[in-house]
Amino acid sequence: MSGTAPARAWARALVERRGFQRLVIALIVFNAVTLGLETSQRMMAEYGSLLHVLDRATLAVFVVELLLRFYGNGWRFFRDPWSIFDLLVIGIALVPAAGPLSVLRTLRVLRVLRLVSAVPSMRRVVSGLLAAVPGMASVASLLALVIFVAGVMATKLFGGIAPVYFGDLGTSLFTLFQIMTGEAWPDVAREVMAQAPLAWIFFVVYILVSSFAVLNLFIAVVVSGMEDSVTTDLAEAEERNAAAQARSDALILEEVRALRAEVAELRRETSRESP
Amino acid sequence: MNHRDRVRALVEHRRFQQFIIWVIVVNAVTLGLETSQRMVRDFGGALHVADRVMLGIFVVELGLRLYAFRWRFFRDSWNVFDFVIVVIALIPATGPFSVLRALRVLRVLRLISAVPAMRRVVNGLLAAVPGMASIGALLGLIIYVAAVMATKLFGQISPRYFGDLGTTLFTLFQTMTGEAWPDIAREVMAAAPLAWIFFVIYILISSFAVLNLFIAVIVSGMEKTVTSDLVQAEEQHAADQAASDQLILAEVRALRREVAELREERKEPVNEGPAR
Repeated sequence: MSGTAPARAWARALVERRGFQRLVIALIVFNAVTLGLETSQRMMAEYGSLLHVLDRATLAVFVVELLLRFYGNGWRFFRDPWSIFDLLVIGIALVPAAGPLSVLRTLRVLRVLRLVSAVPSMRRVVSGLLAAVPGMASVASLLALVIFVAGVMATKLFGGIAPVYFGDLGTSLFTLFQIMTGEAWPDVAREVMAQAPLAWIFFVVYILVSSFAVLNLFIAVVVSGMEDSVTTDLAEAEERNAAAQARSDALILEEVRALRAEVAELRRETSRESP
Repeated sequence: MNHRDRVRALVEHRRFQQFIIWVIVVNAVTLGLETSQRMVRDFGGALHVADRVMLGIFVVELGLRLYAFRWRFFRDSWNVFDFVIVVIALIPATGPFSVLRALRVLRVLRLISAVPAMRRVVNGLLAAVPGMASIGALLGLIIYVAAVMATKLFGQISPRYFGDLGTTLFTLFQTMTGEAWPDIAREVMAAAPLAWIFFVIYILISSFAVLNLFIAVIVSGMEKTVTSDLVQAEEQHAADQAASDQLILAEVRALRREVAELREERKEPVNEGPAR
């Protein structure tokens, strides 16, 4: 066991070295370019095999990097959510993309998102974005509830009238998502209203409620973003001043202690004299 | 006072700068009139002459400022801005450069560098850019990844929207702005019913990122007002606290001295006493 310790330390030092991390970032960007080129049929016809080899090679480097990080950090590797993200993204690329899993082939490009975990400033941005999610969670679940209830109602009410938009629950939910984004909702509403003139009630109420919920979702994000920035600035100033305050408190305390010692001395002298 | 100082005094004189602002405004009007075919037919010659004369004034003004400040002229980015705009107007707009003809109207933007209040506004806007940079880069990354996926997934289904990477990037930009995205989504979903997953996730993520881009701008704007006020109040409070601490410290020191003196005084008669 003890014989592997230096090797582990060496692996950890290697993966944490700046030059190594820069190399990984450069490889991710390079891989992003080759994956982009693969979408062009002309490029695939001429350099398809070369692109494929390059893709395999970079994937191999990523796998080696991931193994080194796992070896260097041991099980602690799984404690960092970004490591798990890297593992998932690389793991998807390793699953044989044949038969029903062929959609995974297109998910290979998610590898480019490793740029987020590799570049510290991007990491900070995403952590900041994710910090806003808990504040949104309750409003988002309320929104989902509203959409679901409206979806069930709309399927029952308008399923027969406009099967293109409200034929089954899934279709209805998609249509209601579209209406929530405000895109082309009058087309949908007018088609339904041609047969059910009172359908405007449903659409107007749904749009008001869902946009109100979406607005509150936005506000939750905005508030949490502002809170963060304002609070950190204030906390910094507070901390700066607290240090000065502590210094002056220490001075006063020292002075008061000396005073107390002086008074105690005085008392001792008095008591020595009085008897 | 040599020539250079005199020229500098001239270009920094308020009257001179107001004159330049007026020339820019008049130039904006003549450039606007040039877009009207009727005006060009009736007064084309006069407009052209006026345009040339005003360009001449700008060139002379720039030359004077260059002469007055020499190389220091290029240290101020607003001066570089003026220089580039005037140079664009001077390039002969023929053949492959004919697009530069339309860029002549950029000269009106010199109003920004000439009016200090506008300068401040633009500086304030640019100050928000660094805060946006990382979220902007993240958004670019998201769109790129989504574009590569969409080109592979939907390239065959609707080549009009997802035929190659460039087309897909444009389509996804359109989807991000929310304009007519259901048309695109429904066309794709007719052939690939599960495509809704891609569209819904992409719209949610990209609008979330765009929203945060806005927030970054708002926050950076707010920081300068609200936070600086709050921090200033905090700083003021700390200064008051420090002053009162100083007072208390002085008082306690005086009290200690008082007690020390009392002790001395009490000690003295004892020391003077005959025996101990």
